[in-house]
Amino acid sequence: MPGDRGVTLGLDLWELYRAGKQSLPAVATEYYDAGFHVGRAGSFAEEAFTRPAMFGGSQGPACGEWMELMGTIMKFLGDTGEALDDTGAALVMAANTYAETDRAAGRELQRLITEHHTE
Amino acid sequence: MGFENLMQTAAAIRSKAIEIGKNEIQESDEIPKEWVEAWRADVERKANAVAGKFQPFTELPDPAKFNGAIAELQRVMGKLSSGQDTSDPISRNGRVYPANVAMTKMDSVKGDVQGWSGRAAQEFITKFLTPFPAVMHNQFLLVAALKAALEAEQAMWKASREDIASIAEATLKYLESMRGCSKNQAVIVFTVIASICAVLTSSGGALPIAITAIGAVASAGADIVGLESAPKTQIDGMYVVMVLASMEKAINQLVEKIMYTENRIKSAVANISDQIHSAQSSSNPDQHSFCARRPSLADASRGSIRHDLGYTG
Repeated sequence: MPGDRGVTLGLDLWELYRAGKQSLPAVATEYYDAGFHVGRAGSFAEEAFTRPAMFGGSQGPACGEWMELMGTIMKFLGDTGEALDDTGAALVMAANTYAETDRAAGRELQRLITEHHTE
Repeated sequence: MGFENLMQTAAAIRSKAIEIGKNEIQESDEIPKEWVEAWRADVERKANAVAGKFQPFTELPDPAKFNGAIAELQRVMGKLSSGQDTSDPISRNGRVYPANVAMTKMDSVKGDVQGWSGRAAQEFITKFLTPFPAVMHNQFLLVAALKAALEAEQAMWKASREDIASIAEATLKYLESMRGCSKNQAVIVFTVIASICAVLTSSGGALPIAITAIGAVASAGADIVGLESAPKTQIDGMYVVMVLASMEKAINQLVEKIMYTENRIKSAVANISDQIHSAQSSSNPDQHSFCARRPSLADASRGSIRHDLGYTG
């Protein structure tokens, strides 16, 4: 029945919406936060590496390599967070796009969003 | 005594060296007065230089200053912990990192998009969601390695402080014993060489994809201990100038040992970066061991989204 199809699609859209609006952004936030703390570790370490020049220069031989690895890890975490966020936004856009063209599914999506506080 | 009183010990060395040096040789028929004066002037000059030899060590990095950065990385490991293999794989100062519950939301995402059959949706599932736990665990291991390098630095500076203090103390003790029958000949052990092994375990366990890279850090510590024992030197000499020369030699050796140890840490970290780059260039372009590939779904537009997702109902 058309009504049933609308309800089924509405539920699928809501799951898509939930993944895009809640789950992926929540994990992305963890990644952004992880990247932030890696950056803070870098700032702290920069000071910790400082020493008199006779011990291998003002920050020593290992600091540059450590900072490079730190930067690589920070980029990995940032890129992962961004991919999660952008994919989440795409899923929300998808749910809304389908909902706009199927009124029954759109109503069901809106009902589930309200019921589950998914805004 | 100890590192905190390094410059006081250096001052005591100077005083004791001048005091003993004054009476080391006396004017006699064989030793003219000018020789004695020249000898004493030489002792005084070398004794006055003692403080300058130790002074740079007072500005060595403070091991405690690494605590802030280490704590930040421990937080990151907590963020990236999946709940499996979550004990620190490298550091002996390690601990268990309980699973980050927020990350379990990724499990539900797979179920939420399962019914969508479009190319981009399927790619998102197979190339992003499925390998995600393995990638996250590799990221956890990378951060563990980054942290272990800082712990190695911290241990190295702690040992360096202990070593320079023991050179100063041994020199003073030897000088103090010079007038007696038995001299306090002191052996200095450069603990700095083995210091980094105290924090790095040998990771023989079966770690996933990142094993070679991470093993590089672990084996840096193991190599040092495995290949050579901590080198030693002695503080001794018949005359004050000889004692001060052996002290200076020990100080110079310590600087070399610090550089050697830090270069081992540098090589281990560089090796990890090399391993990452080689894993990136040799692996499947669709896959990456350390960073989930950006799914094409992330770049979908309103115009393409229906085709990207498809719908099977």
